[in-house]
Amino acid sequence: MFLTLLKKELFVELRNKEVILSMLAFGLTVLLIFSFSLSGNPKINHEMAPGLFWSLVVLSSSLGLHRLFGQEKDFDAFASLLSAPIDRGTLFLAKWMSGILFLSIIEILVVLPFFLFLGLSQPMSYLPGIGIVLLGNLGIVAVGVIVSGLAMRAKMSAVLLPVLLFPLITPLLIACVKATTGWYHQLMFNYWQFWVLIMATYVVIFGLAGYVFFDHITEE
Amino acid sequence: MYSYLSYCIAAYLIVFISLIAWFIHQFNIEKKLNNISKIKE
Amino acid sequence: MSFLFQERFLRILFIISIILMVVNLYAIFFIAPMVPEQHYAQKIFYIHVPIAWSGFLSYFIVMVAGIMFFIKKDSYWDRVGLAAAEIGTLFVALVLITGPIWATPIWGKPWIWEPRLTTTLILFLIYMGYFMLRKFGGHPERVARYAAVLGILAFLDVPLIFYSVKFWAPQFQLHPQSEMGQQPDGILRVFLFSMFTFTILYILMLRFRVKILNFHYKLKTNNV
Repeated sequence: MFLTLLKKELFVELRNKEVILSMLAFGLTVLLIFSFSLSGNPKINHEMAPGLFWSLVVLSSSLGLHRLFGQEKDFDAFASLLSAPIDRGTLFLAKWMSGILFLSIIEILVVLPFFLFLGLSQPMSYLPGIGIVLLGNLGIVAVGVIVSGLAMRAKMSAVLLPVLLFPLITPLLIACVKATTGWYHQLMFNYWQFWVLIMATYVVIFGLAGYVFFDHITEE
Repeated sequence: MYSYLSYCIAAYLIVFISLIAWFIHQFNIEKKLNNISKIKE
Repeated sequence: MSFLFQERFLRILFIISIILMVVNLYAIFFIAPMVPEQHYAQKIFYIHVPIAWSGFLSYFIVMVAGIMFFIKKDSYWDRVGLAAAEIGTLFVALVLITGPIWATPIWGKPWIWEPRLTTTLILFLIYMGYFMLRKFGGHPERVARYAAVLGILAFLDVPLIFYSVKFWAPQFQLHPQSEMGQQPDGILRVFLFSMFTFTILYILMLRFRVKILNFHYKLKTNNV
C-alpha cells in the first residue's frame, strides 16, 4: 500500500515538471543574489559555503513544500484519497518520501552551479556530505509535510508556510550547517558528531510526530 | 557612580502598563459581549 | 459586573494577587539589598525571570491543552489552549523587551545569541505563526485541531532549540539565571517570592481569559 501511494505521489509530481523547473529557476536566482551579496572573495565563500547551501535549500524547499498538497487541493482530490481505506500514517510516510526525493533532485541540480558560481574547491570526500544532506532533507521534509498540511487550506498559505516552517526547523538548520562545516572544512569527526546526533534526534521526533498527528491534520 | 535607575524604571513601566492594558482590554471585550447577549435576549 | 468579580475563586485570586504584587514591589525595592556592580539594573531580574517562567509554563499548558483536546474531543480545551497561547505570547514579548533593557548597560549590547534568549525568540516567532494559522485557518473546528498540533510541536522543539543554540555559540554563556542560587539569602527570598506572585497572577489571567472565551463561545453557538 505504501509503495502504491509513493508511486502515485512520484508519478503525479514528476509528470508535473513545471514545479521542478520553477524550483530550479528559483534556486538559481537565489544563488545569483548570494554571489553578488558576497564580495566574490573565494576565501570568504569557502568559509560561508555550508550556511549558504542550507539557506538555499530551505528557501527552495518552502516553495516545493507549498505544492506538496497542491494537486489534491486544486482538483479537490483529497476527500477521495482520504475515503480510501488507507492508514493516515502510511499516507504521511508516502508524502515524506516523495518530498525527500523531490528535494534531493533539486539539490542535485543546484549543487553544481553552487560550486561553480561561488568558486568553491571540491570536498575531499563525498560520502559523508551526501549522508548529512540526506539526513537534513529527512528532517526538513518531515516538518514540511506537517506544516504544509496545516497551511494547506488557510488563506495566504504561501506566507503562512515559511512563517511556520522556518522557526520550527531552526535547531535542525543549525545542526545541518555545523555538520556540513565539519565535513567540508575537514574537521575531526569528534568535533561535529554532536550535530549529527541532534539531526538524528530531530528526524526521529518529528517523523514520529508526523506519523501520529497526520490523522488529525487530514481529518475532514 | 551611575545607578542605571532609568533602565529599571523603563522595564517596570513597560511590564506593568502592558499587564494593566491587558486587563482593560479584557474588560472591554466582556462589555461588548454582554451588550450582544442583552440584544439577543 | 465582570467575571473577575462574579466568581468566588476569581475574586479571591484577584484580591490575593493585588496584595501579593504590592508586597512584592515593596520587597524588591526596599527590602532586597542592592547588588553593587549592577545597582538598579539588577532589579529588572525580579520581574524578568518570573515572567519568563510564567511564559514557558503557559506554552507548556498550550501543549497539555492540545493533548487533552485530542483525548477528550472537547472544544473547551481548545479555548484553554488559545488563552494560554495569548497570555504566554504577551509574557514572552515582555521578556524579550526587558531582557535587552537589562543587557544594554550590563553586557554592553542589547542582544547576544545566548541559548535562553534565542529559544525565547524562536518560540515567539513560532507563536506568531500560530496566531496567523488561527486567523487564516478557515473553519473553527479544523483550526482547533491544527492549533493543537502546532502547540504540541512547538513545545517538542524547545529542548532541541535550546541545546543546538547552546553548542552553536559556546562563547555566549553568560546568562545569570543559574547564579541566582548563589545569591545572598535576602535576594533569593525576594526573588522566589516574586516567582510565586507572578505564577498566581498568571493563573488569574488564564482563568479570567478562559471565562471570557467560554462566554464568547456560548454566545456564538446560541446564535446558530
